[in-house]
Amino acid sequence: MSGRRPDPPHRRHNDEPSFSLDELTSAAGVTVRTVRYYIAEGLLPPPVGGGPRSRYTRDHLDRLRLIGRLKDAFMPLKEIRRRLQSMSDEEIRDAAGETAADMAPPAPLASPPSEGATDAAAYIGRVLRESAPPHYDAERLVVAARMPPRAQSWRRIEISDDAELLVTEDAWDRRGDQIDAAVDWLRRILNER
Amino acid sequence: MTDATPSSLTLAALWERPVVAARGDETGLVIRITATETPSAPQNRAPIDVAFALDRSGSMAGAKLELAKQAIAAASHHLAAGDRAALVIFDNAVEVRHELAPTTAEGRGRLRRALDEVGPGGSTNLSGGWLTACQELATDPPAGDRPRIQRSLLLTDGLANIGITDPGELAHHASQLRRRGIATTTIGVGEDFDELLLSGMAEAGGGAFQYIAHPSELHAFFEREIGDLLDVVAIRPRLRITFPHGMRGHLVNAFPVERAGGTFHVDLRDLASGDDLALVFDITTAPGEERTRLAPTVELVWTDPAANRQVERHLDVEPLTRVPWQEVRHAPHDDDAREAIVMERAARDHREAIRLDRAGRFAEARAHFRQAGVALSAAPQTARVREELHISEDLAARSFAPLDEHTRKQRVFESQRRSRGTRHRER
Repeated sequence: MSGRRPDPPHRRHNDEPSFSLDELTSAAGVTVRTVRYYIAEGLLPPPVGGGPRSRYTRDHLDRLRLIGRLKDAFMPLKEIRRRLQSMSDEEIRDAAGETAADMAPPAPLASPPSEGATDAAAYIGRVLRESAPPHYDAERLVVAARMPPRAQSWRRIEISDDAELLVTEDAWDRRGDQIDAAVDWLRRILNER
Repeated sequence: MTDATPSSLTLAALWERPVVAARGDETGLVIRITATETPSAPQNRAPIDVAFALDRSGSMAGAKLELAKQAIAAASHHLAAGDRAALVIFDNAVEVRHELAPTTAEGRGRLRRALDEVGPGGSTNLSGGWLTACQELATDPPAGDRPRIQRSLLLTDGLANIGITDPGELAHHASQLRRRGIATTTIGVGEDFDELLLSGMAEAGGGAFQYIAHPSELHAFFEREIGDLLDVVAIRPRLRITFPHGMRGHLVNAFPVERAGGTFHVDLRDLASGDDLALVFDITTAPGEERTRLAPTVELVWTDPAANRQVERHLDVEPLTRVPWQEVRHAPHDDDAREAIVMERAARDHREAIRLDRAGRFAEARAHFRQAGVALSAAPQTARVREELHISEDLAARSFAPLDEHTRKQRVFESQRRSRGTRHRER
């Protein structure tokens, strides 16, 4: 793509598959809110047409998939936008790394669709990352929660009205004196005023 | 109009009446899905993966949390070594307390110990807790080729205030996970949760919504829920109905529908032995030549755990005949169909009334209760219809002020439960 903004998609070939917003979000595993946000931020071109009849193209899907990958690699959105602007549609498609078969719009559903557990895991991972409240790192939390069972038992120690200390039972057993000293120190500091 | 081939589900179609006016008309169609009365033999049932997402926010402190913990521990004893269970607790943080593991005697012991350690905490990250529970089910792909039942059970007593809090967005994710094999059941305890959020998640997520007015009901609920999972005879049933040119249909029940032209796909919930479900469609027919006939095509697909395969059934629906309008008045009515239709429409009116009541649109809410009452009073007066009529008239007559929380929750629960099918449990 040569210009700063992506080409308006209505100039694209008509024989490419197009998607409704729902189909696009399902195919890309993102939320509607995310799509709107990316459009507002210039990461995605606006849809073809307006209102409930608006359609999205394969270009949208390629971009969403690439953005997902770059986000997985912890690239900031600003940097992702800069990179997308310097790439052609073909390059984006290649980078998104999808085959033509993945691009077909959802097939008519003759039987209950089952996309499998791995797919569910990827979907949930993405939703958790996108919905994480401030200071809540879903990835790290889940990792932390998967530590061996012994480390999963935590003891809560109240420091003040608005602060608590969490220590594992293991640490409580092994390092009781140090923890007591730390608690005393924290209480003194936090309750000073 | 019944498919006679033996299988775990039986299908039948009933019209409100066999004819429609040739000048254009409205009527109702009932598709009745009945699950076999006999549950699968224990060795043939589908293995179950269940993940409990337990709210331990501050408001759960006391009887709610203690009884929920006891109920989960007791219910897990019905699971066998081939099943698996996980426990996720959430307040403002989310913690996997017990990873998905086989429910052997040892596994159940570990689950119980994990429950014992749960104490109350802070606010409510409902989406994080629920999604992490689903993740427990998803991260470990079911081993072997037997279809497994994957169910998350979300228990909360409050409002989602951290993470995703928008009911529409949560329902969207629930439906996406349902498509990926994971169903969601939601349990609201007490009077402070959002019944529309929880019922919407269950509706989209292929599970059930349960209102628990008092924590003492938790034990019986979990016993029943796990019992239903043990007796599942049809996993992820999906109905496809295609209306012919000149006929339109609209599903009244609370199930997610995907529509493409005249074809509708309805994602039903897993059905247990003895389940009985009446799907009601509002039908409109366009003007047409007299004596022409109209019928939709109906198919149902599901996975049969005992046979370990996907089953597809086609239902032959007797066509409706277009007749001069004068003849319609004398046409016989099917009383069973009329009862099912009027009850389902009343349930829809009640759900809409509660939504309006919550939005502060009291006059419109009362009008929906009144509309339900008028329709019910014109139907054959069976015991069920009379009871529903009484409730509708009572609610329509209330003053223009918010309904109390118990009434709202009870109405949403009752209307959704009926809409999504009931089970004959007196076994």
